[in-house]
Parts: sequence; C-alpha cells; structure tokens
Amino acid sequence: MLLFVLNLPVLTAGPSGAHSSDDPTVQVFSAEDLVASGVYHLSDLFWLADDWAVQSVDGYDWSASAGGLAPLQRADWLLVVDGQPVHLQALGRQHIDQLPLRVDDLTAVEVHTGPTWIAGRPALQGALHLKSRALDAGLGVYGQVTPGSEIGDPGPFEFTGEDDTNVDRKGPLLGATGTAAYGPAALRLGIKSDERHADNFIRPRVRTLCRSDCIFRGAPVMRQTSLHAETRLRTASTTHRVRAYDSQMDEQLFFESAGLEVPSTTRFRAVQGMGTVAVADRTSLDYEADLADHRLDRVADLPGFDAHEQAWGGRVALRHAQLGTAGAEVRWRDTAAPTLPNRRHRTSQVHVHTLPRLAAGWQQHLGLTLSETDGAVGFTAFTSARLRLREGHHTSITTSLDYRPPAASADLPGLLRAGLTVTGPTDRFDPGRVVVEASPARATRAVADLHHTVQASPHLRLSGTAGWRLFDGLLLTRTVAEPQPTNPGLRTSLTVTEGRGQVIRGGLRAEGSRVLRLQPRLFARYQHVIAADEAFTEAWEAQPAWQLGAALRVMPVERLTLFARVLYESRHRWPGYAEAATEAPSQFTDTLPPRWRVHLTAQKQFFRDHFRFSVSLRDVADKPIRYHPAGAPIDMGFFVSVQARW
Amino acid sequence: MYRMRQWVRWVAGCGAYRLMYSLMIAGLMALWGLPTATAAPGDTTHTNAPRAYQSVSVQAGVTTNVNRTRLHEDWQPGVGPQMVVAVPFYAGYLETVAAYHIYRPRASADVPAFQALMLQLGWGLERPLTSWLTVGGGVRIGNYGMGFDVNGDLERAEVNESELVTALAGRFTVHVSDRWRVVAASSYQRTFTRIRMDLVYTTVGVQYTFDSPSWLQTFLR
Repeated sequence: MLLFVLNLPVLTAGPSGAHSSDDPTVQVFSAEDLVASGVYHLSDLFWLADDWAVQSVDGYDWSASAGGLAPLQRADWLLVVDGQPVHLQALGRQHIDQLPLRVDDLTAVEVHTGPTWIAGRPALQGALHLKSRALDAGLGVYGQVTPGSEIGDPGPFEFTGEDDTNVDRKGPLLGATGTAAYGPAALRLGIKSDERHADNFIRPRVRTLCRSDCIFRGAPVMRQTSLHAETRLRTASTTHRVRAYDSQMDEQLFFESAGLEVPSTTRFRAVQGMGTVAVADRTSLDYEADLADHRLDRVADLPGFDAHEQAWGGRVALRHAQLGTAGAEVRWRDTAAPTLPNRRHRTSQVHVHTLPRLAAGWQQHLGLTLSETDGAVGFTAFTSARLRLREGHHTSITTSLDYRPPAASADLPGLLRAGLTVTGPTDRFDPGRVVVEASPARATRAVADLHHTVQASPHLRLSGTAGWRLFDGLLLTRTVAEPQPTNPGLRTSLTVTEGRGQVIRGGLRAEGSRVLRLQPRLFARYQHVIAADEAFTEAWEAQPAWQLGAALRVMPVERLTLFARVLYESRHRWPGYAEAATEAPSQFTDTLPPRWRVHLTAQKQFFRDHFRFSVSLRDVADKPIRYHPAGAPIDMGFFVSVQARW
Repeated sequence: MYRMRQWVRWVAGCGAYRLMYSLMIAGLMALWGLPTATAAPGDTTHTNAPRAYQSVSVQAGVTTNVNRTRLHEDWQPGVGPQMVVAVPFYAGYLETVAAYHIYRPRASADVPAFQALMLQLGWGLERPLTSWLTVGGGVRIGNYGMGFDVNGDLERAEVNESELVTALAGRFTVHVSDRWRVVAASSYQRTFTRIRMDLVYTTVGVQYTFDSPSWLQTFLR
C-alpha cells in the first residue's frame, strides 16, 4: 500500500519462491529470493518453504517434514547439494545447520514437497536441493557479518529480580567464501562461524555437569565453526568435483531423539567426490563416492554416552539423454557407542529411471529401485505423469510405493535400541528410560498426489492439490514426559512402536504475475489423519492441520528490496506432554495455539551491489519454555546483515 | 461522535509520552497529506525532481530521557551525545542515528549503572512551515546495545545485551543559514526487552548540510 501512496515505480518484483512450471511440487527460491528474505541460517529455509512442517525443541536443531510425508520426529527427507546427497543424518537427527555452507553461498534452493526423483534416486519423503554459486572465472570473495537477536531479553531488569531469563538462539554469524577459477580448474574455500545462546535457567546445571569444560559468557554459548573446500575440474568430455566438509559444534544442549539435554560436542566431517565422463554420443557415466563421519562426545557426566557413526559408499550410473538412467549404489554404515553393540549395515540399491514422452502433452516419469539391506530385499516404485490437457491447463499425477524389509526397518532412529540404558544425574538431564516395544517388521508407504495448474490469465496462475498417504509399519517414537518432584526438569520415557494410518490432504495456491504490480503468492493447505492407530495419530498431531500463507517481494526503487511473508498454523499438540502440562502449566505445554508467523525484511544494496545491508524482523522460537513439544512459543527476532562481495 | 468520545477518553487516559507518540503519528499523517516532497533535510529548494543521495546532513547534539517509567524507579538518566546523518531519498529522507544513553543507579537501588549505544536507521518526511522553520518526522528501527557495570562478575549477569528498538521521531528545524540549522527534536522509543522500555528522548543540536561527493553517491546508489 505504501507504494501506491508514494506513487513510486516498481522496478522489478517477483513472487518469492514461485513453484516450478515444470513440476508443481517443486518450489524454487532464486538467489534473489534468498537474499531478499534476509535468512542466514540454512534451517531458516524451512520457514520459507510452503507446506513443510517444522518444529524445534530448543530453537536450534529443527525437525522438518515435507508435505505431510513423515512425522516430525525423524528426518526422512533427502538433503542434496549440487546434485549429490549429503548424508547429514546420523545419530537420530539431521541438523542442517551443521552443513558448512552459508545461505549466501547458494544460487538457488529447490524444495521438493512431494515424492520426487532427484540425484538419480527416489526421495519419497521430499527433498531439499541446495545449489551453490557457480565458480566464475577469476577471483571472488564473499563476506558476511550478521548479528541476530531475539526480543524479550531482560535488559536492566535482570538486576531488579523481575526477569532473569535470557536466550538468543539466533546469534551472530560470520562467514567468508573465496573462489578462484582458471581454465578448467576451480576452487572454493569457505568458513562459517556461528554462535547462539542457551538460557540462564539451566546454567547452574550445565556448570555442574560441564565443570571447567563449559564455555560461559553470561549464558551458555553454543558455537559452530565449520569449513568447506571444493575443487572442480572440467575437460571437454568430463567433469569432476571433490568437496570436503568439517563442522564442529560446541555446547549443544539438547539431544532430542534420545530425550537427552546435555552439553556436548558434535563433529561432522565428510569427503565427497562426483563426476561425469562422456562415454558415447548422448551417453555418460556418472560416479559418486562419499565418506561421512559423525561424532558425538564430551557429554559431561553421562558416562559412556559418546557415539560415533560413519557412512561411506559409492554409486555409478549410466545416463542416456533420451532413454534415462540406470545405476547401482552400495553404502555401509557403522554405529558405535559404548553402551551399545557395534552395528554395521550394508545397503545395496539398483536404480532405474526413465522419462519417456508418451504422447504430445504427456510426459511420464518412471522410476524403480531394488534394494537389499543386510540380505533382506525391498523396493521403491515411483511414477509421475505430466499432462497438458489443453492450453494453460497442466495436470500432474504422482504415485509411489515403498516397501522396506524388516532388516531395513530395524534401523531405528538414532540410538534408540533395546538395551540402551544411560544413567545420569537425577535432574532434567536424566535421559530416563528407553523402551523398544516393537520388533521391527516390514514397512510400507504409499503416496498418491494430484496437482492441477491453470494459467488463469497472463498475470495469475492457480493450482489445486489433493493427496493421500498410507503408512504401515512406521516406526514412531512415543514420548511421555514426567515432571520431577525435586527439580524443574522432567524425566522422559521414550517408547519405539509401530504406527499405521493414512493422511488425506488438499491445497490451493495462487501466484500472481504483475497482479497490481506486486506479484503476490498465496497458499492454503489442509490435512487430516484417517484410519490411524493411536501412535500414528499422536505423531501427526504435532503437525498443524491448517497452513495459510502469503509472500511478497518487491523492489520499490533501485537496489532497495522489501520482503514480507506471513504464515498461519492451526493448533497442534504433543500428547505425551499432557501430564507435564497439567502438573506444571507455567513450565510445560502440550498444545501450541493457532498462530501467525511474520517475516519482514528490508534490504539495501550499495556500490553496484558489492555491499548489502538488510534488516529483518522474524518470528522465531523463543524462550523460556523451551521444552517438548516444541515448547518454544514464537517471538520476534531482529537481524542485521552486512554482506560484501567482490 | 461516539468514536470521537472514545478517542478523547483514550488520550485522556494516556501518559504524556503516549500523547506525544500520538501527536507524532498525527504529525506524520499530516505530512503525508501534504504534496510529496523529495527534499533532503536542510534542502531549501523543495523541488519535486528526484534528488536521492545528492546532499548529506550531519547533525550533532545532546539528548536526554524525559519521561518516567518502571525503569526510573531504579535508574536515573543522564545526558548523552547524539549524531544523525541523513540523505534525501526518492521520497523523504533516510537517516542513521547514533546516540549514547547513560543511566546511573539511584541511591536506594542495588543495581549497576549501564550505558546504551543506540544505532538506528530511519525514514521520514519534512515540510517547511515558514521560510525559516521546517517540521519533520519519521520512523526508526535499530539496535539498543546495553553495557552493564558489573565489574566482570560473569556469574551474576550478562555484561552486554542487545535488543531491538523502534522509534517515532519528530523535529523542528530553524534555518540559520543555507547550510546551518538548529534542531529541536523528540523521539518516542520502545526497546523490546521482556519488560518493555518506553522512553521519550528530547534532543537539541546543530545540523550542517553539504553536497554529496560523487564517490558517496556512487556508493549509496
């Protein structure tokens, strides 16, 4: 409205995060979208995506689920960087901020909300594809300084005794990336330093547990330091890339999947290689290899609770420009922890994917994966038909079926194994009991989605979606929190059980193109659980049934960008915390009321785009009730970012 | 009429600072209703041609807190310096504000002194009232960085804290010469600590305006 009053010309505008015209389930954020939104943690990408449910216990480590495809409690979606999956998932979580890349390193993000085929593999629970900047000829330097702060700190009232809670889950982020490219070779080096704070409430306990190892600066500080390096080589008929990651996080206080809240150090290291060799006309050989290493240690006074997980493997595939791709992949995964028997899993897979054009206006994706896990066989089938029924009308029908044998299903989330017993101090760091009730059996998942898109006018595109999901034999973690009589914490009982149920869902979306010169995007989504058992119903209650949202990006004058996004989420809850919420309502909650999340950013670029300054106001997870279920209510944070590139 | 009575009751029930807040909003709305001016603070030509970044106004002065809230039961405000740098924008002007606020503990309170460095970005409009007097006002957003004198007692509390601050600002400018002005200004600022700090500051200062050097225009564009 401001723009009309001022009667200023709108130089450019675009619906931030428009959906792909090729695939309506894929939402694409360009570098301009990312920059304009002012997000600076990779986990912030979850907030930009439509139809993803996100939740955090600590405001730091986020659980995400794409399009109602999985419960929030385990990360089954696939993380892909430049066409190669990154096996960031380990020890029961997938902490995307552990990836050393910065948002500023990205040139686009593709968000796959439904079942998809990506990087030569099926990703039936959705995917996030990060595309890094091209390595242009010459030298390049990118730098970023982003202090961030959540509102509601005590300020001077800390000294009057009226308010003593303080936490900033969004701390300062510093980072720099240098690139060099000359002829066929290119190199990229990047560093990221991130800092966030826990709250004072737990400081005395952390001190007791950490002793001299803890870092104190007022509130406990969580620090991440990470490095990444990449080199590329391109010849007339081949391309090769090697990338290395090293990321260390100190003082991470919550380990949700095991119900632990402990000071710790986690380290993620990975080396990845991939490339393409042309072997014939229109035919190439793709290869990938990677080694990922996760280590969780220095867990204070919880004896024996350090863990180590390694995953390594490789893939080769033949790709024909018209016929499709056929590939084979083998992966191994070792998990070791003193209180557990060491485990090694091997998974072998064969993937076949083709994309024939069956008729004018009809393109058909067909994908099949046969897998073998420790001797047991499973499969994944994926089909997607893209139809252009008449001019301006596009329909997409996607179906997928996934069968996992018992051996594969036995890969329980994180460290939840029969026999895991950890005894810690009797306070809120006590992890409690872990019980594995179910004997892992076969698991089956089926998905059917229908999308219809209408180009209603040159300026308006409308989309409708209807979907169905079936889960059988899904391993779910049921959490029951029990308040402790002697301290303000709780004891968490975790039970792994099987769930069965179905989800039906529908949505509408409108994306404007020069509508009122502002190009807005609106969406609404509803999902409902049917024919489900108790465990399944509880797991999906953590996802809001309703989501309504709108986004807008506009450039009112040269090099000034304004971004706005609002998202409504209906009430959702975590039934396992009902008892805790009843007994200590001021400290715990089992229900998050309906709420609006607001995200506003203004950004000015200077000196021919070499410098960028942005100010954001965003609803972020807040203190001090920061326990299950996503106990964090939302409050506003503000972020100032200064970025430079040359 | 009913709405008018409601409004009068609301105003009567407010503190002086909130009344000032309301007057500032009304003033901004009034400025909004006037023909759009693209002049910079201190620009006497007031043409409608785009003049973004073509001049720079630097204002230096002193500022102090004048209202009383819960904060003032334990702390007593002092006088601190303030600097404002403004450039004309496509509509109105953009400004950056830096101010240093001083709070000393009252004798009866067992609390540490603290200082705050406020850094803000703002946008506003300005209109001439007479040939020698200009009125202006706008909105600001920024950071309120507080440092507490706790003598290194890390166990006791935070040493430093930053918090979001927003403000409505208004000012009268007296033209002394083509380039020099005297400014009397006031702002109502809200610092978003959990217990909100609503503070009214008054400022007096002098302002000097000069043409932007070409390198600065290039940078800002």
